[in-house]
Amino acid sequence: MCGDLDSAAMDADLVRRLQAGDVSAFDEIFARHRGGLLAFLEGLSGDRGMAEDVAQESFVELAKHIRRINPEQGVSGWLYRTARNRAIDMLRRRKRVRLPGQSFFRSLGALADDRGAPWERMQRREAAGRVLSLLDTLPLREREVLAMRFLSDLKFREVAQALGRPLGTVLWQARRGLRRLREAYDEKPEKM
Amino acid sequence: MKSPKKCDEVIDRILEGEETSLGEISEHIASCPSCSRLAALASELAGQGRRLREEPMRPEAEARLRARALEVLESARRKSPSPVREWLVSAWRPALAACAVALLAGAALLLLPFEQDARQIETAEAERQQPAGLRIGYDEEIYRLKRRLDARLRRFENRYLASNEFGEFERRTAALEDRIDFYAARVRREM
Repeated sequence: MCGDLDSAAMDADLVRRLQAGDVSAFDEIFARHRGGLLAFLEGLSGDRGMAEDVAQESFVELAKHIRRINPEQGVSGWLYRTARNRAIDMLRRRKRVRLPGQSFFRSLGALADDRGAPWERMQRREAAGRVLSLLDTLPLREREVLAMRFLSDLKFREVAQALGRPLGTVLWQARRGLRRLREAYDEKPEKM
Repeated sequence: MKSPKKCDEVIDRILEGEETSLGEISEHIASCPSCSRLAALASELAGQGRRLREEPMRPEAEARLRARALEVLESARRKSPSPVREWLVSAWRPALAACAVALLAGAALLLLPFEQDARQIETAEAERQQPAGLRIGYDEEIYRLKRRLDARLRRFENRYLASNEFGEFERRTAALEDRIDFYAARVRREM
């Protein structure tokens, strides 16, 4: 809890510094939220390239609208909400929201990924193809809650703030999402 | 062993990110195939999350992002409003808020007599429609209150549901029901 408060206070301080014109605060905000945001977007879209594009747009939007952000409310909720809306718009344009076979695109993305040694690439591909493909089978509302909680490692309070939903609703969606994930696994155990 | 209460506890612990490999919970997980699968899935999901969070962004994408963000921040700094303009903007907001409050107060003063008349008409109507032969006393009072509730509910339905203001409808009917309960309790005490 104390750690959460420290983290929120640090975010508030960074927003104030950025609002006052201290550009180095942007780098710190980017370093603090980059990994979690990318993990969430990749979990949501199944596409690392798209996740990077959306994360890039979201950070640029943050820079554009920094004066309108209330430092006390923190930057994390704003960033995740903006990124989520952009990702969903993009997925809708590609007509890929809840379409089966998203893991096919994920595999293509992984095959096209030429970073690291061949052994590392193979490991990455294998890991991405398992539990994340099960996540793809969930309805969007549950998928995004589980992606924020487990992939981005956000607290439920932060998930609720980012999605603009009551805490109780988010908890309920997470429980239902986990149960559905288990059912999906029971149906296709050979994929794990 | 399947125990719904323990299974729920496992889900809660997993969601809160708490340890599941200790004590009674770990014994339950070992004996319940369903919870054991759930714990394995959650652990794999969290592990995948750690890997994804640590994976770096493509260097060219990161450099492009930084350049664009700096450009935006720099142009915002150049366009930042003068202190006089900022003061004018900040002074206009309270003035606008005061005007809005004055307008709302005026509208409320105009509508209040209408609301009172409507309430009197409802009471008279409810009293007029009261069937004969009711037990005088508690039942009669409660019946009268329920008639009033029905009449007001109909009025709220016409006013708020017709214009899709479901939140306002719920709020008003809940307040009305609380009032009826309060009066019913008072009548009960006095009888």
